[in-house]
Amino acid sequence: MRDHRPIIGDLIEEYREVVRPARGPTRAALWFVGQLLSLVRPWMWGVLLGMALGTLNLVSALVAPLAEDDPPGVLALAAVVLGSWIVIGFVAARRRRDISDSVRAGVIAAVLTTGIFSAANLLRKVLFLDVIRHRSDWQGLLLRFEASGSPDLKSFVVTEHLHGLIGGLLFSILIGAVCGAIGGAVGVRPRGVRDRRAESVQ
Amino acid sequence: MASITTTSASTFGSVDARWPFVYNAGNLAEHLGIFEQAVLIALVRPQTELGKEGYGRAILKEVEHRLQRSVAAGAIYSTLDRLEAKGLVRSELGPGTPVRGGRPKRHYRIQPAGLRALNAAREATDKLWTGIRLPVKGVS
Repeated sequence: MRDHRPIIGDLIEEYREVVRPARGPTRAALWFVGQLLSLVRPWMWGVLLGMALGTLNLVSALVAPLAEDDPPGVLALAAVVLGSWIVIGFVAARRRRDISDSVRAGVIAAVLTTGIFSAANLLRKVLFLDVIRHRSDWQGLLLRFEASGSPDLKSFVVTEHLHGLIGGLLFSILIGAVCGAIGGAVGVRPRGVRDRRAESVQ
Repeated sequence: MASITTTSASTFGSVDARWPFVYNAGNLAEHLGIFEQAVLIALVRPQTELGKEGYGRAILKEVEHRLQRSVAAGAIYSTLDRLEAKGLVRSELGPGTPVRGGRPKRHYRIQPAGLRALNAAREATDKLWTGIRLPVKGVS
């Protein structure tokens, strides 16, 4: 594991000697957070987002397994996910001002988010199958199961999930690229010169 | 998979054993992006007093000075990591200072392979632009 003390030391040095005197405490704190975020790689964001969504899904199944999906809630969650991928694209563009970095970052984050969330969702289906099979939105799947002649519901659910995952991952590549490009289009724009004058090389 | 030819290996030096795949060292110049070149140039010819110190923040400031724009810290450190993995730079820890809260500085030095790669990148760019007048005009 790489020693991060020199990097943090560099940021603290810059913060104390240049940024805080020039920008004041609030904007300097935002600068510091922005620099820290720039150190996080796109794949880490994808993993974190996937784990957060997966955990939320598992916990909600544990608390209220039969609760119907709330459309505004699902839409809000989708907006958060898409917004996060756009931000990831934006941050990636800030690194080298290259929009291809943003598209790549968006795709990596989207694929990892989707993959990890899907794994958690599969776990939810397997763990809570006996309960959630009574949900109204599962009745179509149960009809398909009965028509399939498959002897085991759990195997059928797993197989259906994995088939859906392939399409989901392909779709996430497309959406991740679009989100990354949107964030990148904003991120590649040049910054103002005001702070550059204030923070000229010492 | 590409392999290292005798000529290219002698031109660009050996491939670092930590690099996870074999690549054609003859194409190293093509693999050196503009940002990687900026970081290597910052180490070879620093134009600022801070830049001469050759640690992370100093390199960042030097690159910002050369590119005339602000650069995210993450871009510098990930590029330095990549260059070190390719064997083009080496780093060592130095003592910290009170303003850094005692945290050490990581000082970077360009390696012979880095110099060769930088020269090759410049040569490739010069060849590419030979005979082209600036500004380049499109065909109507």
